[in-house]
Amino acid sequence: MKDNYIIAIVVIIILSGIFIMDSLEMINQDYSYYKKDYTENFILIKKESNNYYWDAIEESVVGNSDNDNIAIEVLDESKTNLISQNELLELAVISKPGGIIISGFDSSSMEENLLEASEENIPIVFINDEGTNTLRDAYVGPNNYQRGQMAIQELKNDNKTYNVLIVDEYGVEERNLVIEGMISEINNHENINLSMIQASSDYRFDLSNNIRDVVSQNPEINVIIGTSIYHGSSIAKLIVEMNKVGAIDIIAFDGSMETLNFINRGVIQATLFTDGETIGEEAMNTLKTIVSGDISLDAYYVPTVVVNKENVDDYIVGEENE
Amino acid sequence: MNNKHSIKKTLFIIYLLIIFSMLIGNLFPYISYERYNSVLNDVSERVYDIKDLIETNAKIDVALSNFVFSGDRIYIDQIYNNYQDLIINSNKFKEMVFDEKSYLYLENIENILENEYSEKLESTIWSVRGVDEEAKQVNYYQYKKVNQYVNIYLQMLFDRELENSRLVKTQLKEISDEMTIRIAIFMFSNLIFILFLGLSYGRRLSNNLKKLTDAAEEVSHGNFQIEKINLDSDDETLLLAEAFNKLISNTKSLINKIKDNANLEVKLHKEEAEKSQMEVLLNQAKLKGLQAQINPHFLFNTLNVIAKTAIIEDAEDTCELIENVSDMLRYNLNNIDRIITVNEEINNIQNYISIQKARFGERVEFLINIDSKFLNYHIPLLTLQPIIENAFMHGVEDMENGGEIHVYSTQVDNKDYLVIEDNGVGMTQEKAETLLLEESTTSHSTGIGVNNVRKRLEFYYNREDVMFIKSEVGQGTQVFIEMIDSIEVENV
Repeated sequence: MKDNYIIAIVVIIILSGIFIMDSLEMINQDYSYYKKDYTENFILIKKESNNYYWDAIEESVVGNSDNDNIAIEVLDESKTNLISQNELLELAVISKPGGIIISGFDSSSMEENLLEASEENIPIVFINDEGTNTLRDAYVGPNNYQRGQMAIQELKNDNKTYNVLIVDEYGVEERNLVIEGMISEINNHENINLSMIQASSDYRFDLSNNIRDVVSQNPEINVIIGTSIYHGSSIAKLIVEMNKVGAIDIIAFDGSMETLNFINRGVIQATLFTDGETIGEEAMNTLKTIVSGDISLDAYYVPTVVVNKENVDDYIVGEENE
Repeated sequence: MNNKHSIKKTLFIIYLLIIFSMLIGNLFPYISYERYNSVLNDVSERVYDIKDLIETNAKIDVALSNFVFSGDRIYIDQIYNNYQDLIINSNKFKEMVFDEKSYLYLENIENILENEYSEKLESTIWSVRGVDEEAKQVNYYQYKKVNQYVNIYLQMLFDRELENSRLVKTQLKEISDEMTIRIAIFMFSNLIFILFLGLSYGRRLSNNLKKLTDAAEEVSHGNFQIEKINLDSDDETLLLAEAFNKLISNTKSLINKIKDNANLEVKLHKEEAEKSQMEVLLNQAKLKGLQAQINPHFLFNTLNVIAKTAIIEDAEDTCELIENVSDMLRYNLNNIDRIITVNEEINNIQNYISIQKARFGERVEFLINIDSKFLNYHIPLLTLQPIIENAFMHGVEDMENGGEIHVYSTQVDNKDYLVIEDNGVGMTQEKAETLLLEESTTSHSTGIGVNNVRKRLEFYYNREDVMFIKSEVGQGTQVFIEMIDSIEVENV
């Protein structure tokens, strides 16, 4: 009996001890101040926030920084209220990071910041748009010229005459590589004609109205190719609204679920896109290579995926699983 | 009190455990509240600190604007003082951030402040001092842009710290909720454990007391034949049980002692009664003997005269007969409480048989066949003669011929016996058993009955059942007398 008391007291003391230690640890859990534990900091400038493609790139960039003591700072419009990529680049450059990953854009407007970055030895990796003639250090993304050719190659019916309307972001040089690819491919086909290239600088607001007007005024147009990741679903909605499904084919340049669903419904014929995760991963690898002093590729082309009616189910299942 | 765990001490321990559990359970909410309060205050202070940085940056902007448009040098001190404050406080704050993002923002701010910001600020101030209005304007707008960038980072830092603050609050809420659950589980489990301990102790105490009360009840009904009380305890109940066991043991021993004394007393009474009865028997025998020895010397002298006369008349048989009678009478006149050997008794019987031979002639044959070892055994005087006389008188007397009296030794159930057997008329077994108990029957020559012989033998052997009779009507009678070695008799 006496042993029972000793056991009881010991058990209660142990229970209490565990409770006290555990609770104290929980109460005093680490609210201590951060100690710098990174050796490099890179800035990722997102062209769009809350967008699946750029979110995938960000996730991949951050994921590939963990093991190398690299801190990633993400700048975008939602954080800074700066719409211009050039201003974001300027902000990034004067912050003097170890490297910058940014979507390429009009080289003439960004030349000054690229120059300053170069002077400050801040390597810059372009993604998405190649910026061949800029001072950027490397490019990681799709082969845009080839992508343009692949878009035209999706128009497969040789017995039909295609009159193509290309919708492009205004003033973006890299898009021109896409368009150049398209034009070169159009020239290879007698049944494909380029009706018009429609610039859409503010694609999120004015695109529908612009396209509606163009299509109304040019009734021969039976193919619309949207080169931005926002174009595909916007044009598809417009075509459905105009009751032109079947009469006008759409080629998109994004892998959003919305676009894939339009392909599945037969509204969009095909879409060409690159995997954001691979771009982020390779951009990080390239930047790390440059920072370490090794020589990197000038351009790393990430393969372009073509999704059409034949294989869309595979991608829809994949997206849903994700 | 020697027991280590008194009831009082045990209850005190249980109360102590309850109080301890309650104390811990109540102390922790207080400690955690204090800690959470401190963390929340810290987080709130940090947000205000960033707000101060933003305001300082705004003050620089205002002061520089005032300087640019007024040219008043009074603003220069404000500009530099605020600029120094901004650098010092942002550096200080950099050492107090919680996460990497905030640290990065502050590092960026530091880089901008020490390079672009400083340069643009200086160039704007210098251009104000100059006369080039365009340069002044360009520098001012360049400064404004950099100031805006710093402000952007400060705002991002502010948002981040607000987010951290919200995260910390959420985290604290989760910790607080978890702490509440933990305290509840801790207190509940401890109380259950203590309750179990208390109930277990209570049940054991109750069982022990029940054992004691049950035993006490048995004793109150006079039953002292109860098992020793064994208690699984080391408190007062154990003392009580030990005292009770001792009490029962002492009482039992006392009772046994009283019983032994009573038995001894009964035995003594019995022995005394037997002794007095024996004395009565001996007295009776003595009386009979006295009656027979009216004048033994006269009788012996007379018998001797007759014997001599018989010799003179050549009546040798008569002479021998008279001598046998004389010897037998002499033997019978011995002290009845004498102990003699079997051999002596046999010799006396020979005399008696000689006399009876004269009477019965060849009608009765008398055989003695005794193991020589029994001849030295001791028996009371006149043990065999009354039995043999009975065999003659009641067994074979009426037989015309073929009568047989056989005295021999034998063993029955590993016991030695002298058997007096006749082939006379016999009797029923009931009658034979009655014969052993009847006091009225007596022998002619000695006046001593079978009952007297049995009682004397039992008294001598200090045992009962030393004699028994087997008989059947028409089949004769066997009287068995147990033979016990004299040494053994003395030991008894």
